[in-house]
Amino acid sequence: MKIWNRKLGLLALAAIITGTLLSGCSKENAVKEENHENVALGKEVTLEMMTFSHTNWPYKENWPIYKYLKEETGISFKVQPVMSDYTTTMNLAISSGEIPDLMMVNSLNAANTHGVSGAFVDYFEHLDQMPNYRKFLEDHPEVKAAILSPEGKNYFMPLYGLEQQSRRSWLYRDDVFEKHNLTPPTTYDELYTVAKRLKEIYPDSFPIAVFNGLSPLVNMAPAFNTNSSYYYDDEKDEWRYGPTEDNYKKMVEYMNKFYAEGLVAPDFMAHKRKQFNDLLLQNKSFIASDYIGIMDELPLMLGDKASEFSLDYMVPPVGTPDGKSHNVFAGLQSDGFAVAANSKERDRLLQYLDFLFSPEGIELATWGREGETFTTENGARKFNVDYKEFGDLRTKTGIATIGAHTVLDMTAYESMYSPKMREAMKIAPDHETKPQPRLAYTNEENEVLSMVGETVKKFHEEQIAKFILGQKPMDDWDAYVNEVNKLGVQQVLDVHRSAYERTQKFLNEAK
Amino acid sequence: MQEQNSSFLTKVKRDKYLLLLLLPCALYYIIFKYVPIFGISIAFMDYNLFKGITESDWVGFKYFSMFFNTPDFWPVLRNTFLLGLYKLIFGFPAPIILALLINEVSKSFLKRFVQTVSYLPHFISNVVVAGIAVMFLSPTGGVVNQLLSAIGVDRINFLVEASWFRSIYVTTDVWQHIGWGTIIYLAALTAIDPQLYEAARMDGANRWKQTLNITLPGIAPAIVIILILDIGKILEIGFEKVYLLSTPATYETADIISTYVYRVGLTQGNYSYATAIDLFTGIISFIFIVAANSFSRRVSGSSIW
Repeated sequence: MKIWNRKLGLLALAAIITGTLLSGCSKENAVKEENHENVALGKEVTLEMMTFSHTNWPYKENWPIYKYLKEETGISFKVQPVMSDYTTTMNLAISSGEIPDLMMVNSLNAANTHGVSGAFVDYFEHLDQMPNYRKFLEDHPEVKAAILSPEGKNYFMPLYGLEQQSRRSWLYRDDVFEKHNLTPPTTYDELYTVAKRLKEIYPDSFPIAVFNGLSPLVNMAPAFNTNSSYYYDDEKDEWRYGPTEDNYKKMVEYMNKFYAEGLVAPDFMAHKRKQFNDLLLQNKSFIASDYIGIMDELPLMLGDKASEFSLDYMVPPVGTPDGKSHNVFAGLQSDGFAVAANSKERDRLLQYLDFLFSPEGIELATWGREGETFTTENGARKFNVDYKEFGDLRTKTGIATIGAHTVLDMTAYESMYSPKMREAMKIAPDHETKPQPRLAYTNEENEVLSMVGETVKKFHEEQIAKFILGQKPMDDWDAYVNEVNKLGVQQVLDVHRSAYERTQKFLNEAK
Repeated sequence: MQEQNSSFLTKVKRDKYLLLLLLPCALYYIIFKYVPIFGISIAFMDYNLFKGITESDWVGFKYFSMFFNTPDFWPVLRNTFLLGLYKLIFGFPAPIILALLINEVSKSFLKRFVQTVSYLPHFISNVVVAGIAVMFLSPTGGVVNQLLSAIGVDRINFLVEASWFRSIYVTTDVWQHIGWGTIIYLAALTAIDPQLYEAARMDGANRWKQTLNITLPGIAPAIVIILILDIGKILEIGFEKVYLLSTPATYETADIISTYVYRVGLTQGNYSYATAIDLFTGIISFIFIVAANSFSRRVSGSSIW
């Protein structure tokens, strides 16, 4: 770690060489100018950055995106890419005191905990240097509300754009539906009928594909006008706990019916993505709730045999009269940038980050360079033909990888989707819940959340699972509600409420 | 005194190369096992990563009492203990039996083949083992349920029945580690003097009697030592496989100390709490191992120390 990070000598050397080459100034000047006053672009510095490196598009030193950014800002990075267990690596770097100048933190909580102890820069103190970031936050109040610390400071710089890709949605096999002259369901009763019909046609099948514990309920809850956890109810302006509400019970009853009649796989809770994919690919499931992206991804897995296989977006069915035809908004990105408080080039770095929020910065981070990554034909931009899909673009250029952007203009990538997916991405935003507030909690509040909150959550999941599997009769519902309340639901609700009120206060003060 | 010192020094001088050989091993233990012990102190602190061990505030036994007072404490402790106990009851004798069986095989090719095949699962990662288990136990296409229905038994939805969790865990665990465990017993078997068998055969002992009166006593010391070590590990159930095999419906039997620590301590960044719980299990394991050792010394005469 030490050898890795201790490279002051190297840094000086890099500054001398590049300084001489580019600005033509003398060696002494280059070294002297390495201070906070001179933030003019053009003088090159190399800084350290730690970032998450995805296995599907692992970090490469020669990615053009970093070259473009360097040409534009004069800042290049010595990157420490982390492939797995980011939390541990991040914590090691912080506890060893060798914090890289720029660091990806993978939760608001982490940024706040370490920020308040003095590890990271509070961006709000430097907003005068960051006009673009300031403007971005003014334009996106929901983002601003999701990045504060419990003291109303800001140690976490958000990433924006990619979350649109991880939309949850309902999907259905339009080819199979067409073949049997079925229409996609719009209510849960219709969902039940159509699934029953499919089960008759394909007796071996489990028409509705869901997987991974109780996570399917998360995306079903809006259809019943409730939520799988604690949530802020906009209409009533209050904090509530979904899993004890009557509407939640209705949802569980539907799931119980689906389970009892074999409309979902009997062991769906133990299924992981592989089993889920297999069910769909082997014509054993026809309606699914998952990320919207599998629409394009699953056919690729079938290769040549994909000709008949076709998934399409399904408008979320409604469960109760007050339910909404909504999928759950997956939320803002959990990753964000933090700047080391003791970075030698703090001001340059803040300027760099601010550039990424500027229109030119967003364009550069989204598209790359004209002539190299994209071309303009008849006024319309097109990515190089080398990049057949979004993943390709990431692997080959580094564009849209974590660390190489703050804001992405996602409309740019539409051309890489299939026509159906493009259509779906247009409809999807209309069928989506508003994002739940992401709040900052004090240490005491965090303790309540982890102790009481986790006990409640475990009990709730265990009981709900038993209701669905029929191991517990629905008549026991009231007893369950009593029991879970006794474990401390109110305490946790209070924590959310006070954290929310605090955030609102900070936001109003800023106005 | 003087003499003793000088004789000690001369001994050191004489054996300096041997001692040098010992050095890497000693350094390993000092650096990786003894120095980190001081990290335990964060169990008594409101530990803050950035401030570090020296500057974080002391909070005494706060995190311990927090653990003892959570409603999850008893269920989690009971599950951990029972899972460890079942693992000991079934997982401990299995390699001994397999070793004895392998020992009876006279064809050396077959012997090696069986041994190799049986210890291969040891190298399969837990993620894969859990994947295999989910596939085999599937209530629809799984091999196990197909067998069950072939003999006219109702299909069982193994993975969402809390009562099946321990059996699944222990069975896969035995399968994974049985071959690996036999290695040490097979090594112990080679140390038995062949003349003993000859003498026994002269006296008219059949193979069963030979096993009972020569082989088993021959490997008894190895058995006792492994048993004592295993008892010390009762509470040390790995996190990974439990986490992968459990579903919300099986929390009742599947939630153990390490999954609890994962949920409450690590995902929430609560290191002090996680350390306090770890220290607690460490102390219990220590008590187990000391008790088992002294019990064994009294009863069988062989012990670790």
